Amino acid sequence: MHSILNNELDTICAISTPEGEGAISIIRISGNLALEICSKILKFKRKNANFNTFNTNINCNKRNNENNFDNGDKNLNESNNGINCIDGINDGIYINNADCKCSENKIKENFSVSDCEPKQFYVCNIYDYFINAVIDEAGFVFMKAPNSYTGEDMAEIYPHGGVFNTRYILELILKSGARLAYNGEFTKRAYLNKKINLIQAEAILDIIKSNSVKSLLIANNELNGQLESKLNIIKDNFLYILASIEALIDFPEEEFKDISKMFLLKSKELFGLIENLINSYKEYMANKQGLNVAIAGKPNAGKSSLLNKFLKKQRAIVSDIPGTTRDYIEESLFLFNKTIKIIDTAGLRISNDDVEKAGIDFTYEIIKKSDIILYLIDITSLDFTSVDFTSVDFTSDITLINIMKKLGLDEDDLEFINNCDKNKKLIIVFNKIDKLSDDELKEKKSEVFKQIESKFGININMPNDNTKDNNKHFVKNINSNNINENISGIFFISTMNDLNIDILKKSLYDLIINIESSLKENIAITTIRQKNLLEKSLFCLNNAINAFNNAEPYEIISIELRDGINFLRDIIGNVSNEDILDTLFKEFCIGK
Amino acid sequence: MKIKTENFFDVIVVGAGHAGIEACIASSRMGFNTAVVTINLDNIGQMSCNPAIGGLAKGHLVREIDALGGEMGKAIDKTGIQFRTLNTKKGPAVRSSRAQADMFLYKQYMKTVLENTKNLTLVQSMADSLIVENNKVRGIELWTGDKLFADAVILTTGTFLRGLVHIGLFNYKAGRAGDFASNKLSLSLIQNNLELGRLKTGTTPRLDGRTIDFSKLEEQKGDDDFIPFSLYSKKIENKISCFVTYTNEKTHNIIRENLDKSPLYCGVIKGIGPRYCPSIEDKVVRFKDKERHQIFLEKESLDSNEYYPNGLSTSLPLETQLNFLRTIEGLEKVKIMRPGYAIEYDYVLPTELYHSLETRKIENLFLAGQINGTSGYEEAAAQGLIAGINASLKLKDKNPLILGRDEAYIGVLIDDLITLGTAEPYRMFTSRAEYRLLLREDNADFRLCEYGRKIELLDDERYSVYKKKFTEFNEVLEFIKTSDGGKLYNMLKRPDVDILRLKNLSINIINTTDNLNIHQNPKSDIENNLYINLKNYSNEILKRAELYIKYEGYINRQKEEIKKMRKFENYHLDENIDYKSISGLSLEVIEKLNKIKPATIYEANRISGITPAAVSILLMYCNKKI
Repeated sequence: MHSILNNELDTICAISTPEGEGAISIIRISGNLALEICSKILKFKRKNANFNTFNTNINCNKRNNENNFDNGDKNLNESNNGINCIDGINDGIYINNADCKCSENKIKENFSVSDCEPKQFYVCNIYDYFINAVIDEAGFVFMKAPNSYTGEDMAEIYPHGGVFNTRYILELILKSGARLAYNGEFTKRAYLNKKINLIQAEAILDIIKSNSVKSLLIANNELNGQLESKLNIIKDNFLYILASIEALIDFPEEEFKDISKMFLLKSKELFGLIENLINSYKEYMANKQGLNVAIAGKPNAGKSSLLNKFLKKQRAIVSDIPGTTRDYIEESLFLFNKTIKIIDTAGLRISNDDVEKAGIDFTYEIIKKSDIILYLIDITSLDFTSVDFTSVDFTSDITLINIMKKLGLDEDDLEFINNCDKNKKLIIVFNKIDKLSDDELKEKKSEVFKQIESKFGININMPNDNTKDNNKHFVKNINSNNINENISGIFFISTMNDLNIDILKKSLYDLIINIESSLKENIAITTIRQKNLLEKSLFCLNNAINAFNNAEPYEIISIELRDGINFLRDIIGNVSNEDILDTLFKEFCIGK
Repeated sequence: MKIKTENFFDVIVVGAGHAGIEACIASSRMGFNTAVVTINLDNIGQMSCNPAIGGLAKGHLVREIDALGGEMGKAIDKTGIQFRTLNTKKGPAVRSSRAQADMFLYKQYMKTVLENTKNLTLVQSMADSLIVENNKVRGIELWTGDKLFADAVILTTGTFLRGLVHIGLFNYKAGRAGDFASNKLSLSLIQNNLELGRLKTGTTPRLDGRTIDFSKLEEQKGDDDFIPFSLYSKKIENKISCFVTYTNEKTHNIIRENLDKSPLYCGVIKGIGPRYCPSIEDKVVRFKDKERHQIFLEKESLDSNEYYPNGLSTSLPLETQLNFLRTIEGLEKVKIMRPGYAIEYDYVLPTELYHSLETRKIENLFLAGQINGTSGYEEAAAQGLIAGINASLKLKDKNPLILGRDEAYIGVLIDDLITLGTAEPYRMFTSRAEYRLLLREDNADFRLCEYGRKIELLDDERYSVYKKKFTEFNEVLEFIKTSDGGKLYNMLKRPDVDILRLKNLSINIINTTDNLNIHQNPKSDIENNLYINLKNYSNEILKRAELYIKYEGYINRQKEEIKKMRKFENYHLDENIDYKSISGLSLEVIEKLNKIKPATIYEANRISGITPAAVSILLMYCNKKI
């Protein structure tokens, strides 16, 4: 499968509806494998003893009944793969089939998708043959070439409109032999098959051109160089191992020292590189779907109240009784224009209640997965009057933790903050400031921060005015290495009176932007197509390594490697025989 | 009407090396009155470099030449003195045959064949210029001023065009050591607007076998179960061994110390040499870490003591050559009979040609061999054969024979040259073939004999040999597939099952069951029948069938691919397209397309760096024009 031209003949697929929740989605497949792929993943619904579900159209049911009657016991006793063809609403899919052909000749045993009639609407189960399970129900129409939009065999599948299930089905189609379409590719094929005219095609040509320009595309230009160098290493490694195999084939009388060792070494390295890129996509997607923000803290610090503030509704049950939230609650929400996943957790404390304990264990798991932790502390539990800065040994004892300690945090809180993964951002939030008088709060805070500032050179962003609304204090310009750098901010809020909640949100937003821009350094690929190609390439590479270890013929290994490198052509361009030979003569001493 | 006189021919072939031989034999066997002009009639089929035919991918070429009706395979089977199959431990698709030739016998054989070929005239002379009228070739003018006329001319000049031999910093004009150079023909080609380039190649010193101590050296024997190159050869005979020795640090030091006397490293040589066949000085400089390089000592002839030390191509001064040779084990007292040398020569950029090997600018002028930038006897012979065939077909007003990349290494070779050109002497490698599993040595006849028959190069006798094998092969295949419910077929798909062992096994079973009452065991009845059937066929046919079965999956996959790709040969890209004017292509792609000017989308897809998106744009562009 060496030719780049395969791209033009591949069976392609894409989700044709915009991303997001809707009643139904549409997945289109075009190419000569369309029907074959559909017959792998679509099973006509079995209708044995299931007539009650189809109650909307008497005529149709009647015909079904008649048909069953005709076929006698056979149909009733055996699980029948006959089609279901109904008019009406079924699980949210509106099926408007004017010419409902539940005719006798179609309902046969073992009637499968591959026998379907073009331009007929069918209802099917979507079947994941990898796990042997029905995963969704969908409408299905097949269009036979040349009577389709692209002029090729085409199929459309109408599953329920969830983002997850639609993607799942798409992945299933990809695994069954199709590849993801480029932008505008359906239309391009329509044009090449003379289904649309030149004017229509001109517009599409622009899209294809942009595909070309964007072939390596990642939105941020400055990252291109980084990605390119990664891809070049992948290309070089691929060429190296391919060249070593070709050298072994074409120069059997040469002495190649350590060539097998190098093959395995380089292919392993390559495997890791590709895998990293694939993972970077997953990270990227996770980011795109939002960072995880966990709200943690001791019981009754007001975590659920804060969640409700974010959601602007009562989602979590709140009460004054510590330990009310025993499970965790997860919500996706928009923080301005960013999606985040915010998770309320069970309070952290030593508990004898089994249910609560399980909840606490789970909290630690959640925290591990989270990118940002809002750690809530009940300010009323702190004894500010006892804070004595004179007792702090500022020469040796200058971690923020110690300052916090001096601020009166107890061991539980300290342990948490100390153990917090250094990769996670921690925001410390003092809640319940409404319980303190203005003067009390103001005085304590200004004293605390002044001390910190003067002693550590930490610039605390002190607001000028004195109202409670300006109690935001970011720790900036942290100079000392000793300070726990993952602490991104300290806030004083009141969930009860809505004090400083907006400031917290804004700061959280800033932090998210900040994290995302730093995460991007690890991002290499951004499209599912690129990921897909890398996965296919990795699969071939793996085959090649196995074949090598099993001492299979080199020309078979070469085929796997060539396939592997060819899957990356979209990303790294065509690799010609000459490129392979260039590497061969550069890396290996040949010469008889 | 043309008057046949002494000086009028249908076809003139200039040069009687490996390309010229196949070219003139093909055209005269195809019925055309042919003249072959050579500078020295005693050097027909001269092996200027190593005395060997075949090797990886080259063995494939020889068998393809044979299947089309060429002479090379028969000649080497007859005059070879050691035969080996390479890559026996690797897969069958990349197994290749190689033979040491007795170079004198080989030359003699070829001269005899040419002298006895009907319609063929041998002429000792030198061609100085082409006679061209209205962009059509009419004949050649010889250095004596005489003129020969013909409807088609095939140039196979090898390294002779303005050949310049270098030994150290000394150099002289020669076609190869000991022969005149052809100094004027290049000018004539330039005058006819053909674009020329300059290449370099080299060869090793030749050693006196009496001064080599073989007792210390590793011996390399021939393979007695070697399958002859030619379908029409009955058997081959191994008569000698080769020997292996190695260079060492001392050798490398001497070479390093004398690099200032190397014309390669002093910039005296301008031509580009082959990377796959570097001189020993190149190897030492470029691969510093390599402690030793292998040297194969190959006897040039049964009746001569000259040895060819394969792996020691050099253009260092004679004294240095001797010094470094004597550091090598077994060569401590060696004497050099002929020095190694480098040679520079002119070649025509092969992009000047059509796939038929006819030049685009001058009608009925064909080029073959090193003049097209290739290297190697087999590559030359393959082109010579195709040029001879296509010149003849042209004169018959028939379509040229153009082999596909999926049909023959010859097809890959010519297609690479014509579409991509070459900047170094082009050598065949199996890695150049996309459909390597299809293009095997063992099925060369199945792939090409029908073509050979169609162009009337295979006579009845030759054709019937192929036909018999083909029929037997199909019988065996059919038998294996159908017998015992496909059990045997499935068994043979396994990599560890050897059909010859089954065959031998069956003979044993038959021998033992003869003594038993067969009816006691009805199952062995079936087995007997099965194995008796295998016994009827030669090992060669059985092996071929086995191979086909083992690789069927891959082979079908490749065939499927080919079928799909054919479609893209119909998308033509005009030679005059300026790819800059097609928007959406990246600069790199534009540069490559403008340089290579692919004729079809199918050709474009093989260019390095072309992206799928670029192909899409080209397709859209093609469609737009229609």
